[in-house]
Amino acid sequence: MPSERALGPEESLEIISDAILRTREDIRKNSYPLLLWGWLVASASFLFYVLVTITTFKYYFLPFPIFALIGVFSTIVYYRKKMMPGTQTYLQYFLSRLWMILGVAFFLTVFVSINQGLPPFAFTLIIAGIGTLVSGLTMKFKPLVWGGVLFFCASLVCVFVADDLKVLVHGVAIIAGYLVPGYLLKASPSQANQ
Amino acid sequence: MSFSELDPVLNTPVRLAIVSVLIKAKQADFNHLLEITKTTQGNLSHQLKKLNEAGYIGIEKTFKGSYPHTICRLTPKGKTAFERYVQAIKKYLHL
Repeated sequence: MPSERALGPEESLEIISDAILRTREDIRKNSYPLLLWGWLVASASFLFYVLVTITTFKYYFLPFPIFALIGVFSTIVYYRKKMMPGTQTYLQYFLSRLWMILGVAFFLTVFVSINQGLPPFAFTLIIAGIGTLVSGLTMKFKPLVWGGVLFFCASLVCVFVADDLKVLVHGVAIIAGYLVPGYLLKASPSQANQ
Repeated sequence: MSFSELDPVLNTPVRLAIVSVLIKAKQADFNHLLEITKTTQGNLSHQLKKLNEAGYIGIEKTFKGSYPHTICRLTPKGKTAFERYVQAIKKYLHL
């Protein structure tokens, strides 16, 4: 590309559109947190259910804080090492901040719910639904949109099932709303939203 | 405004491509800009310096491991200049 030559109007427009078009979103990069948190939260949900229903283990709730710590640690390490910010589009920036804030909201909701003596699962599913639906809509990736809708539906289901089953609904919703779209995203073409 | 009166800082292929990338991206690194502009490392450095001197972009030099890593961001002045430039082209082309 010659450097100092003055441009004509058509050529200018062509350069602008070409440069913008080639600065594409690699939406596959966004699959890692979905898969990581999907496996951790789904595993914690099913382990919680097993501990409550099959065993008499006093600390049945421990899978959630332990897996959450693993998730927070792994996410920080991943973003520091693998996603060293080089080129970052405004969409990538928005999504990273959205999930960061929803993560804080998630922990606050669990804390408040437990203090109020309420199972947190219906509320955490709404938070997961907001993040997944907004991510799907902004990335124009339909499996995530459906994942977000499914989280909202699962949240409503939680209201009407017995307390013991709420965590099971939570685990199934995480598999269908995070893991399935996460793997579809990982397998999608790298420039899928252009 | 005739087309020849356009902002001389932006009205060259490499500099216009750089600023166009930075309109879409919050920040872009040297390698990405090299890939988009298809120019040489030396020329890209030279054009980045010119944009930086005009106050259109900010340049941050860091390290990625043991390798130098240059990150560029558009400044508000650069964004305004780009918007004016696009408006002028549209006007000229009756778009």
